[in-house]
Amino acid sequence: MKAWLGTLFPHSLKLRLMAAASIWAIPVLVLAGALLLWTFRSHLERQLDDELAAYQRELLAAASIDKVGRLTLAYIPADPRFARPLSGWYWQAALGNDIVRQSVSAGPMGDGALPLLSAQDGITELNGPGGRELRVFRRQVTLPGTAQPVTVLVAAPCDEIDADVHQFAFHIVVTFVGLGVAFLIAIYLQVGFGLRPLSSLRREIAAIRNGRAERLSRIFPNEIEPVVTEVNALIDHNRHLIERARNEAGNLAHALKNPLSVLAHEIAGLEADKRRVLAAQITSITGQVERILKRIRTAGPSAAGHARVELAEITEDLVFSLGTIHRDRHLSLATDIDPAAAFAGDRGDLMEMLGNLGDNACKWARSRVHITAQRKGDRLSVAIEDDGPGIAPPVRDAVLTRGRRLDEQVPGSGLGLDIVREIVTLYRGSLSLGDSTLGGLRVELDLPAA
Amino acid sequence: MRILIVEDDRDLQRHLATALTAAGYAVDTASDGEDGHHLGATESYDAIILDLGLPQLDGLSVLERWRKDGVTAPVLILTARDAWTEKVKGLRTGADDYVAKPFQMEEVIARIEALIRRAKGIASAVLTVGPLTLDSAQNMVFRDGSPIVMTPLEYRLTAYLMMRRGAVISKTEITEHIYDQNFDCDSNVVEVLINRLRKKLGSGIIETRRGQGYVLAL
Repeated sequence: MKAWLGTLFPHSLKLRLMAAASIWAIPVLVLAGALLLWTFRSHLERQLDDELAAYQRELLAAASIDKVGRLTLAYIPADPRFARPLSGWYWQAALGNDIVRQSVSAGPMGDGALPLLSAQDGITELNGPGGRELRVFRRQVTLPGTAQPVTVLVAAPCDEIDADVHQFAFHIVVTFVGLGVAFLIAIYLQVGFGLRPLSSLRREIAAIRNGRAERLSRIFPNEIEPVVTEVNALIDHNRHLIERARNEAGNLAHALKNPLSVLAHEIAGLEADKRRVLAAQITSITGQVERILKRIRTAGPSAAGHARVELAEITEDLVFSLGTIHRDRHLSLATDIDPAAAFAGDRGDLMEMLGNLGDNACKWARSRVHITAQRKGDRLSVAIEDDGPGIAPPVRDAVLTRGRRLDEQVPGSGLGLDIVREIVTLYRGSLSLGDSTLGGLRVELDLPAA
Repeated sequence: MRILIVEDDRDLQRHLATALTAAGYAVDTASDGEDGHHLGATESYDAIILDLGLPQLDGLSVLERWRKDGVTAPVLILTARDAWTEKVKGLRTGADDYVAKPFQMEEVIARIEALIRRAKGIASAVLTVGPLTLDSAQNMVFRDGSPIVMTPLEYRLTAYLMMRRGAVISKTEITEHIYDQNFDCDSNVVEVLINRLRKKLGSGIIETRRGQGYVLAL
């Protein structure tokens, strides 16, 4: 049953549960209805039989044999139904095979329309006048004064019971169908209530994917708890894998860069032609390695979970580091950070973006670099400005194109802006170049805020 | 000027040592963290080049210990780990500069020179003391504009004296900053060297303070 229920409703737990509930609820309702109907009918029959027995006792009590051996009735039942012709209510009294008297409803004596005497002793059902089914109670006794048996017979129409039963059945069907519908609605609501933790589970998993939560945190019912535990374990495992991949990327970087450094210095002794070829190759390998490693190292929004990085904290580190590296340039590094500014993402990713942009600004600046951050709703805007020569508007697009460097004279691999742009894209943010009020370049990042 | 290189890659260590020696420095090398830490903490260096991924004791720990021990020599971190997070960590731990591998030898030498100048409080690559001019970019010393031919050792001593102009410098300090650790210390050698220099620079420039050492007359 499980199997075909499964194939019937492969997409809905609700429908499965409802179908499973209907499978027992509907037959139970039908059975209960049938049982009620049967009980009601037998009750009505017993009532009718009691009535028939009472009339029969009354007739027997009134019967006696007179001196000439004839059957006489001292009185007859007063019930008006026995007086209405063909009412279905009949009685007969017979001595031997001769009907001595019968109810008015059965018509004039000797009509023979009532084949009632053919009935057997006790209660039977047979067809009476007009094809109506009758319930007949017949009894044979011997009275003092004659050797012939006295037969008394009372009949009542079956269709009276049938009509009552039909009416009752109609009520039952209406009630039970209503009950069934109410049942299904109740089951539907109950299933919905029972499955509600699943919807919250779905919402929480979505929150993790969107980076608004780190793990499944809410307390779930015992039945879902194992799933929650497994999902959390999976998330941890994933994070562990990313961590390991990052570590291995770092190790790979170390492993590759030393030999590349050695090669680059070793070729210095070669003749110019060979050196030029080898140097170009080494530079190309180095560039590829750095690009790939940087990309591997970037955590991105999914790995970051619901991490929240305070801009004030990052910029403090950044200003300290830039100030140390560019100490000889005696730059004034100023920050204006909105206290509400926080980045929704990985700390290392933000540091990488701001580090590269800040480093560029410090290389080009004459004397001043400004870092500002503002929160705008659920977005974060970070701007890095310098008072250097800037970049002319027509060239800006080219600068943003992969691998392009504007000036080879300023030291640096030229990968800086590339990796910034890649990380920004990963976070569905944007990077734009503009003119700074300081006189140089203004680089603005638009990122998700936390 | 004496420099310590802590780098576990032997080839790279050799390249750095060769280039820095050619640039006029006395160079010591260490290949693991424990060794490097010991040398840095016990000898006097004018600058240190430190790799981060070292066997036995990682570079950051070495740096942290040096700074705790009171080692003030400027440290340049030379590492393959070029993420900004690691740069910040290195600088916060007390490094003075950070160069990512693979690197240009010229850049490393230029940065080391800048670090040493900064540590001695000198702003430019060209330093003038009295009639003498030191151009550390060219490893040349000029007297009244004309170059003086010198051996690397003589150049190192002249540069050191000029950078520490006005201060009395003991023979021990001279030995520590001019020779690498393989040099067998003998104060006579310093006296011979000083005498040779006096002949090249002219008399009256290097004064002797009895029992204290030498000072560059201004």
